[in-house]
Amino acid sequence: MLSHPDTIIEVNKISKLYSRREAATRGRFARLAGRSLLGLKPKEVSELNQGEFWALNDISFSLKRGEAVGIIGFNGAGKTTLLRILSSQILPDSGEINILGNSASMIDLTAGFTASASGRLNIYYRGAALGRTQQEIESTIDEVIEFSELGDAIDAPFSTYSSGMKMRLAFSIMIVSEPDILFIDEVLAVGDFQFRQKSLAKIREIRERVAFVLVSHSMNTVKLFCNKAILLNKGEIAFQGDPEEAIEIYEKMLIPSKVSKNQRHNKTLNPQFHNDKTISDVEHFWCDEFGNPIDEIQSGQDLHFHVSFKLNYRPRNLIIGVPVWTDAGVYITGFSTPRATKGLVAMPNKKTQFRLKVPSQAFNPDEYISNLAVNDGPEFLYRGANPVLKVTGTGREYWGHVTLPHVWESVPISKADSDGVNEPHNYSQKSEAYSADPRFVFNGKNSIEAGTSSFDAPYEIKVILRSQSESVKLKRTDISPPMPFLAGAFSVFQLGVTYGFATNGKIVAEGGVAQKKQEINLSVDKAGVGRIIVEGEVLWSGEVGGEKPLKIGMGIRSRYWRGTVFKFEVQEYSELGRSKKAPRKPAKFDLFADYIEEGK
Amino acid sequence: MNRDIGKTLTVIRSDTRHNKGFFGSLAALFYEVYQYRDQIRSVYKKNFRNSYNGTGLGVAWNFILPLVPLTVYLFLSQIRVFPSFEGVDRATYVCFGVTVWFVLTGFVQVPMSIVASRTKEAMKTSIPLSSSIVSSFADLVFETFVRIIFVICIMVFMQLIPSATAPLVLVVFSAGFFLFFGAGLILSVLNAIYKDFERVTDIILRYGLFLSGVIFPIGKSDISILLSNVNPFAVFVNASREIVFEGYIVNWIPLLLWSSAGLIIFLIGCRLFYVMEFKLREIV
Repeated sequence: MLSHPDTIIEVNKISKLYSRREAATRGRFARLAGRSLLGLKPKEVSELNQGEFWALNDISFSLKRGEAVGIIGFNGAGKTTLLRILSSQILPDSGEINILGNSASMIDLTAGFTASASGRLNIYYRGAALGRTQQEIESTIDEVIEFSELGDAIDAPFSTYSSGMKMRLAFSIMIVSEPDILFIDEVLAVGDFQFRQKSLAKIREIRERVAFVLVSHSMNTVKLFCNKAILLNKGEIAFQGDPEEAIEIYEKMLIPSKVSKNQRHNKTLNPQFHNDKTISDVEHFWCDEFGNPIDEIQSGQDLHFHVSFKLNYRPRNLIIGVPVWTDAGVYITGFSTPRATKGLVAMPNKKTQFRLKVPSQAFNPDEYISNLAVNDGPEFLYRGANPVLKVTGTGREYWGHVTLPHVWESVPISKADSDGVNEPHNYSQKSEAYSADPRFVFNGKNSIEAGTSSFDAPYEIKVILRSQSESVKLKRTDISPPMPFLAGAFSVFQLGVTYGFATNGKIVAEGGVAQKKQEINLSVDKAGVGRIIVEGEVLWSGEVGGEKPLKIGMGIRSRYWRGTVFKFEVQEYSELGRSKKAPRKPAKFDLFADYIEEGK
Repeated sequence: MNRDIGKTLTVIRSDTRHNKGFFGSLAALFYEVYQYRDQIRSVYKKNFRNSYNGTGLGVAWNFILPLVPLTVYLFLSQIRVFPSFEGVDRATYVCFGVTVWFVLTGFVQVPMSIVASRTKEAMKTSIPLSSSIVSSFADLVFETFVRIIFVICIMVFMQLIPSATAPLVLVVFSAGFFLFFGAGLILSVLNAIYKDFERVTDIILRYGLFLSGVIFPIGKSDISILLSNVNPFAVFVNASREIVFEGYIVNWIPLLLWSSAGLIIFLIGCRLFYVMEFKLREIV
């Protein structure tokens, strides 16, 4: 009997004995068979024979409908054994399990399928294997086929299916039955991204009606899906309770205390290598912007790395790389010089020095270990450990190992979306109506292009971006649809206005996201070299095609600000080096931060 | 509304199955077979299709293969490889004997081969081994049916009329089923402890044919008579043949004794198999 009326599964002190020796297993089996022939009940295990061990020992927990327990632990901790016992595939050696209602297990999902039979027949075979009657199978077969998205392939032999298709069919058969308790081994969702989302949506749909026991190595899945967790260690419950707490303990257990930090680091950073016949006087360390060595830095600050060495020959393709790992050995990123180019230049027998700059490094607080690798093409010349870098926090919350720049905003729903009708806007007409300067043409593809077909390089456009929020207090009507929270918190230009070059409508270079009141200078010289200069600093320069006529463009490239109108004004511009003031009444443009696919 | 009303409470314990006695185990196995009847049907269909899948002759193979051993023994007997004897003509004698032999040995072999080959699948899919055994029996029944048709054709050809007691052969078969199937279940469990059981059984079933009056009579010497009484295969083969062609059973005492033993062995086998099934899944 269940001890609580809401409980639908109760596991009470179950244990399972396994043996590493086949002879011991057979011996125990023979004794049990003998007792059974004599009509005697099995004896309780009083002592373990040689090679025997408890795969599970004294496991107890209970679940109510709508609850999900995550079972975590190392390989061999007994997770799958527990799941097999719960799903009645094997019996415990002691203890008791009470299950109210039907259960289904997703342990070996594709087990029991017949390769030569069609997917449709396999639905019958598998359904029958799960103890369902012909009528029950027939009543759900359409749902299974539809859910699996196999379409006409359902009548093709199972052996012709890709592994993804097999998993989809197997998962669909299981999930459509909607059991009372679902035992899942890692496979919370299967298939490609789209199908996984669909599977997860189905799981979410039945979440409140079903109890879940999930065995997983994905801590994230356990954290997000389960409301309790059991940490198994060598067959015993090491912790039972809050998933986050269980994961924390598990992760601590992952790093064996007996292994020293150095040993751990060496394991990650090795092999080390130094071809002293080709490279010498190698110096490398993390440093500040002046080249002074550092061993600690705050999250978000600019990080620098110094490397100097002497080569005794002229390398054909000098590559320098700095792979970075966390203290626990998780590979985070690598800072490498480009591999596709001819590489860096180093003169033979002369000291060569390079400086790496990582602007606003995104590492979260931790200790980071790294290597310096110096290569000539595929050949390693040097590979050595850098000093450990400690990254300290800023007091802000963080998750994972890096915090990338990001902004969360509420996305307004356009009228077309809210009506369910996706009517294309005629941006050009509206923008042109605002345009006072005929040399600035809105091209209808999210960008304003400066110049017309009559403009040839060299040409320069100098634009001071200034949001209306600076000079005029923003009213709701300034940004459409209304987003009042933008007014104080952000400049509209931080939200998705990028700038760059477009040659005949094709973007050849883009700058970053424009900040408010930045002076951005885009120019092309006679040789067809373009430059993006932001606040006097050359951000980018390179070939912009040399095709004529050349158009230099500015535009919005964000897809997240659908239907939003941003306003800015041109204050001055210059043409062929002659600076011109903008008209007294500056030309105004509406830029629609809308994502329009090419050709629309 | 409480959605749990009417739901079945399943209790999983190490000794859940040990609580059942002989008849309880038998009933549980029957219930298991009933519960998985659709699985048995679908597996039988699957096996039937698989046996000819991709062949040119197609479903004809399912009729040809069961007849191959019959025709070989028939050929050997017709060229007088085996000793001569009186009574029923050679062709009918051999074909009938071989048909009965395959039925009886099938009762032993099916559970043994299923336990040896399907336990891993049983663990992964939770399909009870009993349903796999029964679906394999369906194969045996079909093959026997094909062979019986063949035997009837030969009898028609030879203008041999069976006795009025011929339908009673089913009773003999049933008694044989209890004995040999029960033995098969016990052997399948013992085989999990020592593989020797499979080897020994294989030898007995391969060569026992020549000592069981299947393709020629055992003989009339004292040893032969003793052998025909203590060899259960010989007892059931002879009894089947006698009841079909002669209308009476000459040695009914050994038949009665073996049939009684068969009932006991069947009950023991069913209980042992039922109790040990989960352990079998772990060990094989």
